[in-house]
Amino acid sequence: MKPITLKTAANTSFYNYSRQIVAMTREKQIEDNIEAAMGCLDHLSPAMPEPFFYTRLSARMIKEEKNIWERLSRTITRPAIAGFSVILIIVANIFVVLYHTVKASVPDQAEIAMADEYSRTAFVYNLDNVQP
Amino acid sequence: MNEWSLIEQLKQGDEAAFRKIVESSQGLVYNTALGIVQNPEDAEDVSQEVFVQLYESIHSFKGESKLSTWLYRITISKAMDHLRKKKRKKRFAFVQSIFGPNEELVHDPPDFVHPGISLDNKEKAAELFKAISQLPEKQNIAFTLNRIEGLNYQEISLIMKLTVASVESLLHRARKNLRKTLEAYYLENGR
Repeated sequence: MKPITLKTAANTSFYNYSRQIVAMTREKQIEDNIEAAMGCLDHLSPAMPEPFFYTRLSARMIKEEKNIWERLSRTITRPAIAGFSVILIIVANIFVVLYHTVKASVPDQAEIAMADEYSRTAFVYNLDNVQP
Repeated sequence: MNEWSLIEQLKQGDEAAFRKIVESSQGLVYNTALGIVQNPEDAEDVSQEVFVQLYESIHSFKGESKLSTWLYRITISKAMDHLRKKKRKKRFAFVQSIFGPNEELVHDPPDFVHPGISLDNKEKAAELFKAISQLPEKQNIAFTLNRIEGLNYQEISLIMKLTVASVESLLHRARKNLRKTLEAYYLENGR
């Protein structure tokens, strides 16, 4: 093992010291860059649309007024209307399913009468009955 | 002519009143939209949508808040819808590209720089705007209104329907997140 002389110890500490300095400088540089970037928006002048904005806007409004389908699709796709329509469809489906389930479980008088009639008819025309 | 009488005239379908409102508030709408969507063509599109909505739903405006507050709300909602639509389109294009060649590719636009930024700050500003676009929705809105539109906490709280303390907290978190994103960028790029 190499003995640690005063010279090597000094070199190592100098090396560590320089590394620390480099790291600190880099940190400072990054911090400065962040500050500079964040400060970009100080004294920012507001952006304005291209000239004749109103002319373009009225042309669009006239075009949209003519296109009734576009207006209709815009109305339908509004979140409130679209959501309400979906809920309405779901509720209607639930109602139809429940109504039919209840109706199927309780046979009505006409069905009972028909079933009786058929069972009687079946007795009259029983082909297996070989008795005269 | 004051704001209220212009609104009353617009409710009666006066085109001149509509024109006056558009001309006096187009800057406010466009600048906010541009700060959020970060693309001049999209900002123009959003601004037009905002004024179309203003024209169509002016009858529902009861005057409980200032017209500018109402316009800011419509602008934010339209701009956010626009961003969501764009993200959906991008995702759909990606899914399509998995199943086969996609002719209509959605490209990432070049780095956005606000036109009000001075020339020597353009590079740094591009990084800042990229970081702003990565912020969560509410932080993005609060930061844009504060730093790009220059509104104070009270005005932002009225627009976002939040308390002043909540706005302060949103802005604090936004700044913290921005610093984190920028730090990562500068560490990675060794500048």
